[in-house]
Amino acid sequence: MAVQTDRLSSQSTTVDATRQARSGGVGVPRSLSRALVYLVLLIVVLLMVAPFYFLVSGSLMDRGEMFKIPPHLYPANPIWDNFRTIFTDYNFATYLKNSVIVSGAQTAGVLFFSSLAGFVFAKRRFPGRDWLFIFVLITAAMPSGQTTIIPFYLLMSKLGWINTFWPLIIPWWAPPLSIFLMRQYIANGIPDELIDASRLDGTGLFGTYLRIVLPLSIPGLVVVGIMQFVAIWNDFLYGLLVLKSDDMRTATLAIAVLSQRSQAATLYGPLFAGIVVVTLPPIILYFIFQRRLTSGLLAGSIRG
Amino acid sequence: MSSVFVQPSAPYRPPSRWQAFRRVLKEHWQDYLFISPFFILFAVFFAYPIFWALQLSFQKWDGVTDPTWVGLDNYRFVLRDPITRQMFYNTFRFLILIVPLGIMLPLVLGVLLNLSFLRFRGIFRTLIFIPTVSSLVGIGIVWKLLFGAANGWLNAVLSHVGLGPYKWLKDAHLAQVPIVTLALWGSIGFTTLIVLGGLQAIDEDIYDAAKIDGASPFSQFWQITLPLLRPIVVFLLITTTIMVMTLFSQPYIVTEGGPSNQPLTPLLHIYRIGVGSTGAARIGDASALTFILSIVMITVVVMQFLITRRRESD
Amino acid sequence: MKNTRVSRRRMLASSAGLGAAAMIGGRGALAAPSSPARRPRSEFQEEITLDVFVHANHPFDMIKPIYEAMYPNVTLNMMEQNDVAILRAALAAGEGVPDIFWPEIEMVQELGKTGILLDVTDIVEANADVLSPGKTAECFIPSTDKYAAFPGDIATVGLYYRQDKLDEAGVTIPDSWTWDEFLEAGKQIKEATGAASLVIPSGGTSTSAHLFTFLLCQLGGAITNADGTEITFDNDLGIQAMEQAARLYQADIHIDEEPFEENYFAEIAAGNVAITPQAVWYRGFGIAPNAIDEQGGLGQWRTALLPSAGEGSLRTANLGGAAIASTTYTEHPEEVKNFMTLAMATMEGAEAGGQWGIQPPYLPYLESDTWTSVRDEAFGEFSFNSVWTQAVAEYPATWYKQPVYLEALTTIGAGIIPLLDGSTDITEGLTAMGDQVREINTRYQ
Repeated sequence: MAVQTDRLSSQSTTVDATRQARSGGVGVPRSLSRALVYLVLLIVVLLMVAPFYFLVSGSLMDRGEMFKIPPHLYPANPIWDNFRTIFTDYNFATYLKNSVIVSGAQTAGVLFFSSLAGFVFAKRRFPGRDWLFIFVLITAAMPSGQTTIIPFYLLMSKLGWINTFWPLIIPWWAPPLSIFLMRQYIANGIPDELIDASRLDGTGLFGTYLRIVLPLSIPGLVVVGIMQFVAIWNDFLYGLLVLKSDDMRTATLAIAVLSQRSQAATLYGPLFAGIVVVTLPPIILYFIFQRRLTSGLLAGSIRG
Repeated sequence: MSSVFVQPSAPYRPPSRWQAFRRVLKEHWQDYLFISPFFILFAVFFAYPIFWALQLSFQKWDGVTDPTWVGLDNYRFVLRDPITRQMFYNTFRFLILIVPLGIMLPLVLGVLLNLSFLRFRGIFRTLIFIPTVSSLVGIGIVWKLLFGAANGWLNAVLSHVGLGPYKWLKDAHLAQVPIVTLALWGSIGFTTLIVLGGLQAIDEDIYDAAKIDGASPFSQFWQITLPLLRPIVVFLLITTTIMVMTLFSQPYIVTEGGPSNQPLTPLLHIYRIGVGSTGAARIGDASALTFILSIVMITVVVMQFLITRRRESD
Repeated sequence: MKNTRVSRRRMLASSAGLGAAAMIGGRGALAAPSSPARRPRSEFQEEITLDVFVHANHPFDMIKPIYEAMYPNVTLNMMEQNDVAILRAALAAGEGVPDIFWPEIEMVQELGKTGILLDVTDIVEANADVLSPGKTAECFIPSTDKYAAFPGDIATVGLYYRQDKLDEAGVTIPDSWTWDEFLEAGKQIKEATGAASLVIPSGGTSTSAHLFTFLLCQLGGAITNADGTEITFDNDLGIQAMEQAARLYQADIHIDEEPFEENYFAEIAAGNVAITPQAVWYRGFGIAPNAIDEQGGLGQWRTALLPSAGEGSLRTANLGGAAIASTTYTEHPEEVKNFMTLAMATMEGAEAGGQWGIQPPYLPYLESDTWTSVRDEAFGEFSFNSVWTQAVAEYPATWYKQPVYLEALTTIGAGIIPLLDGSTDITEGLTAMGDQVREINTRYQ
């Protein structure tokens, strides 16, 4: 899971000066200040990971053990059956499949439309470009979701999209933040000369996008793609609103419903197991793409 | 390093509007076509519901029968309502708590992760990033059990070092903690990586020069690193501000607006009085609040944007 | 998770009856209730599906097989969807509206005024003799002069207590006692066992106001008047109730947790709860799932009426209790009405719901052995339902739940702790809250 050898480590000699000045100048022994850095990072990492520990630990408990006072910090007798239950007693295989369809279809659209718009905003000059781009950014600060539930539902109803996946896919194909990130990435990551050369060869604008911009913006696309996939994977507000039948539910929505059930009944173990199962795919995806994702982010999508 | 944001171009002065329009269209139709998906989707799926909501903010509507036009009555009511004041005060407090932490923590972590002697850099980076990809629905339940009083895991851990027990979810001051930590926990991985990206773009020669001048590590950070990271800090400032002003899930899951409405956020209140609770269908009031919130948010974000830009050009 | 919370609140939003208290005693001789009209079975009968919005694990799950056996051409589609926001969106759009749902009373009152709910006056009146009058009255909309929903569960409130803890402390619950005597007993129990006798979350959510609402209800007060035009909880009865609540709070015999959330469940399971005043449905919701071993009081749980709050006080209160409703959008009003009648006004339906853990409004069932012989491991051989039958006899006639109800509870909950702990003058504090709610209530007129 580690990336010990990525090229970025070798770049990071940048603060050598800082380090040397600190260890020499202030008079703190070098080893002590280094130990301090490791200690701080270790504490931070522990804090970031601890909730997952409790999540997994809870997924192996039954209700009685989960509610012990004082609490059990680890399961005395791990109940692995919780993980079987969510697939046999609940439709989790279907839910996960639905999540993959929805997240995949939405992400594919986002990648296409935001890189296309990002390319145009980054490399093309045309009247109104900057104001249009600022408008795109401002829409990121506009409220939606909880505040426009009824109008959104009415619209979906008029389009005949109730109990389909469309409301979870199409409206989200061009999110402002993704366009912003793609614009930044393409502006900084792809030299103008390449694009000009392609244009001089007589390639059309879309052809240039396909042949030059798309292949060269893969690191940016990975960042946007992962963030988008994760965002839709974890959303359930709109799913709750428009998906009516059980076999249409996404995994996160199923968790929301399962947790609703569990207050009265006794299913905290399976609920936690379900949360583990729902949390895993984004984490796996992150591990698969993490080298590209980190290098994409580190390559400075946000850099000016 | 140029600005995060593009400079607006100089006003375009055509000889004849119609002629110029046709020429622009002929030359640039593809450009407009390629950015049009955003504008079409925005117009249909967001602007339309938002304008609908704008209309509702001038009406009294129960969600079923025909709405009646009440002019500015909804705005008048919600602006006088003490809960509105409380809500904006709460948001202001969350801004004070979360925004500085949301900027400082990634900066500190980014600098630490960028230290050249650091080993296991990849592992640290990976583990810090993981919360970013996890689901709030699921983790919210964990959070509630983490912060429980008698059965809470956090109190159990703290008791080993002789602290607590604390009533994290009940005390008006402590209850900020679960919400702030949940918000930060879910966002720091992403922001840290962005800071790290910015740090690695800084040319090390600058530090060498500073070293020769005898600058201390801290003054190097203040005088070199931070100014060079300005665009990133601006980005963090604006995104964290938007996150705080639209805070909903965290207080909803963890304390549901308690204790005593202290963490009640605008979106939570809007949801509650508009559509989310039984008996209450003050859809007009909720819509009015939505627009007051939008105006405040856009004002704040544009102000942050303008202030940070002006400083830059100084 | 989000939506969980909404539905949970809805479930818990306390409710009460408009009608007169039911005189159970005299009901035994009543004729058997009219069964829902059975359709002649025919091969040509149309296949019908009714969409039902309920939360998962609902009493209707137990009534569904009985209904479908009786009406083979009808299928109930249980949608595990009980979010108010979604119902509102569906109603506004006229699409995705359920045929049957299970709204709280303030929701019945709110939607009933708009005329969108299916008029069920005919079946309510036809079954009036066998239904709890108090519960029935809750479903009546004065402005339209119609019943907009069919009576659902009666959520009377009593004490759940643990016999073993009380024995350990040497406390016995007398047939008749006051809250002040309860307070002394609570102190004794706490001293002897360390266990609590009340639950008052100091978080300032609407549940922080529950004890106050129990006392107010017992004294015959209410949050609003009958038609919701006036706010009444800050009158003399309100002051009396708040003073009692403050004495109970200051006795320090409570646990500071949300009674419907995991952290309080843990306290029950750990044996830190000796007594807790809760509604009928709390047995299945909070007691039974957590009383799974000796520590949690397996077999030791009992029920009792509430202590008296003073002269003429009722011995019960109201917390929750929904109704069955449909809308004018339904294409199968007859099938819907058949379901309502079966579920809440026949022996079979009432039994199924009663087994699940609600208290149906069907009086013959509430007097029957079937009801009183329901057992639960957490309660051993104790007949907890007998207590609820007594409580139904005192079901409050004046606990009005108008649309402003939940916002009123939220407002009271947010400001109640300074009144309870004595740091704010009760009369002044209550009046201030009353004025705040009065201001909000102008939006509901």
